[in-house]
Amino acid sequence: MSNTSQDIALTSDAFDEVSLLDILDHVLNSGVIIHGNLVISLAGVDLVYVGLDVILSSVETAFRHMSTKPPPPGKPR
Amino acid sequence: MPVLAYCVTTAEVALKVAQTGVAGMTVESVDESGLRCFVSRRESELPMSSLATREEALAFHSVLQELFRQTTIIPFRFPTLLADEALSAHLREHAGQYRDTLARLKNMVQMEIHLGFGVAESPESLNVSGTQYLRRRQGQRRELEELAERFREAGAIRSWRKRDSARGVRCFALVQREGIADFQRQAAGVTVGSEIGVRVTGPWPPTEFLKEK
Repeated sequence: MSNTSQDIALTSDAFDEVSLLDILDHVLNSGVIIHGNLVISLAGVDLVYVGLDVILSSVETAFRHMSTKPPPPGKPR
Repeated sequence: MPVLAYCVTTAEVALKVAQTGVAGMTVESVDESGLRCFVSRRESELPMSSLATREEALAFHSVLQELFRQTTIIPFRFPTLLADEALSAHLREHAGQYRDTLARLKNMVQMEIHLGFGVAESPESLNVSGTQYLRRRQGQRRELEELAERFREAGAIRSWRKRDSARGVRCFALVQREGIADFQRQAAGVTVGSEIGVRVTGPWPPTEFLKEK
């Protein structure tokens, strides 16, 4: 880039602080989501997303209140 | 037993992968319907909280990178944890889609160009009226769009997508694996105004192109 501003050309192999953000952005925001129940953890408590974006609840609470089976896996995205 | 899924590739390709992945767990492969999925089996005593750290996200990335250097992969988002049988069922059900996508994106990588004007300014900080501020933002937007177009025309790109980001515009170029150096060279030849920040990153797995438009 013919440019007088501060340009940063990176590759995904460069584990510096700037590319760290890129890497985290990619692993957390890119790729296939399997629709269904995704279990994540926050502060040591297992949480479950039902349908990924509908409900966020603790696993224990979800199992206590869920009478239906988890939704089937969906399409790759 | 729950598994942490890394990525999917075709079963025909022989791949080398590190012994350990996220949280020191062994990386292994599962073959299903002509696909090979790389996973780690979560030991029951391993707390979930130990997976949700920056270090483990980087360990996940390292496994993906090692495989991506060797072939085309379709990564899962981190952390995708599911029952072993649920993963097999998912792969069986969507095997055709995965195979078609892997064939379409074979030998392709994703390069990214981030264009932006830096931190957004408020009308107060610029000491201008709201109308003037919006006009200025509109002008900047147009400038970024035109610049994105110049990048698109510069390289040997198979496909091109772009979307707005918090700082400006994020562009995604699908290029042949052998064409990475050419793309970087051609991108480096694009003239950019001094106010605009540009970052070119990649190669990445072609996740923006998983869906055909």
